[in-house]
Amino acid sequence: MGKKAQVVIVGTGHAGVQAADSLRAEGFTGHVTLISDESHLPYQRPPLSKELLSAEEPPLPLRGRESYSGQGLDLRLSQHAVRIERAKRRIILANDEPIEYDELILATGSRSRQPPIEGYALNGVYSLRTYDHAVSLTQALRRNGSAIVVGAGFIGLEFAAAARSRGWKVTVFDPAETALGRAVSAPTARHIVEHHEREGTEFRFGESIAEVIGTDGFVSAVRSTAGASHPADLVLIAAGGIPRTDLADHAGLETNDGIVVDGCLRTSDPHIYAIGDCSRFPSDSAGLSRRLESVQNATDQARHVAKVIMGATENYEVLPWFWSHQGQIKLQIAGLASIGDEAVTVRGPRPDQVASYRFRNGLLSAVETVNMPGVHVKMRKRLTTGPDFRASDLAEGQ
Amino acid sequence: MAKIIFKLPNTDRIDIDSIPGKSVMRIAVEASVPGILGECGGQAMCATCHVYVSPADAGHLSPIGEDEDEMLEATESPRTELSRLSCQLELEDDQTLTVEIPPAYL
Repeated sequence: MGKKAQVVIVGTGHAGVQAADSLRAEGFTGHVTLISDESHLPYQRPPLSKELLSAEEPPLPLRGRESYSGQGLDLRLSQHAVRIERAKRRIILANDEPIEYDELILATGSRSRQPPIEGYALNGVYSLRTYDHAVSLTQALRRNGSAIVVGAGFIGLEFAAAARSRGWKVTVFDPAETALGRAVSAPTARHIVEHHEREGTEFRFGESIAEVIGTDGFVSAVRSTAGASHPADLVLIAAGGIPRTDLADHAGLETNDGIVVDGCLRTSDPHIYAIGDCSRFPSDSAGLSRRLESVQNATDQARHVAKVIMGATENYEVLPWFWSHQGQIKLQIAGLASIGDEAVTVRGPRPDQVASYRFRNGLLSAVETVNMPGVHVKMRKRLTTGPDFRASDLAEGQ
Repeated sequence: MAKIIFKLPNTDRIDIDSIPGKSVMRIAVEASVPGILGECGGQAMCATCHVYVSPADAGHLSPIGEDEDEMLEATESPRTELSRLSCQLELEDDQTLTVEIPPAYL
């Protein structure tokens, strides 16, 4: 791929920005165009549900402003890509401008899932995905009041901790019987919920919100699916993310809760790739596919796609890892467990610490830790380089 | 005013003046200093903001926290006695800090 080659990247979250960097790092000397539908210099997403709500800083950029021009990257902010014309190998922006590509990388991420709730358009109802969302929420949190959180996932719990730290009363609803969906084992989820409860957050499992009720256009209460009414000054919808596959769908690429890609992150079009939250990729030797919503997946897939574009042929295979910071809880996960993987839970020396080792067919598949970063780091290395770890190794204090 | 001197392996140096109270990682990322990432946004959860502080400065910084100490075992470049996570370092007014950038992300 020479100097005249063009790579276009749609999306400037963690995946898109890393892909541009990695293309240069792999020796790509052609033209790189990054398209963002936001107006801000590309920024880090995890702090939005943590520090931004507590410290009110401006967004932490993914890269300094000069690094784009410094690496010859054409960063186009506030631009919407509206369609892909595959035969002509170009994308069309909302202003009708065509941008040609030799290779196209879709890093479009996800958008907030909107459950069917009446009254969700009232003032005082929020999502949390972008910097603009976080700014609105930070301002809303300046008063004290009652916050209702729809969804006991990572964003919901991170927000709960941030709202509590500002003196808010927080109630979290989730139709499941436990928090964090199936991302962590039941013992770890219980440990985390109990911590939040000790800090004052109320959980209502097996229940969700049916209606947001307003007074003069502003939220004042919610009605739950159990029929009960709860006062509310703020409602956060944190019910998960839906991958943004519109561009791929309209272009006839294969999608299925995500843009489907092969082990090289290539879509059904050989010149189009998909990385990060929006991509559905082969995840194990049995051929099962999955999406993975994490910074690590975004950046490692970005690094891999750059290598593939520059000629590599090996499949993407990286040990997943993840973290969530909820007030005094620092959850870290090394590896990836499947539902049904056994959990062996070991309490740490301090009451806030716990480690759950997940086993599948006797072999370690993942380790979840709360406030035990040393264990996380050690087990991440073990999962990456081996040797295999079994429950008996745990008993022997390996 | 605080000042940070970032040293690269090839003897280049980048001097940045900054306001006190911002983490060294944030200063580095905003100023496009190469080799210092910050993939977890500054929460001592990824170790990609690893730096080597100068021996003269090592004793004048806030002590290594327990979490930082454990995460320093996850650095890509070798850990030494001068290793710190730059997201945990904040300068006071009129302080100058010299750090060396590890090779891993250069």
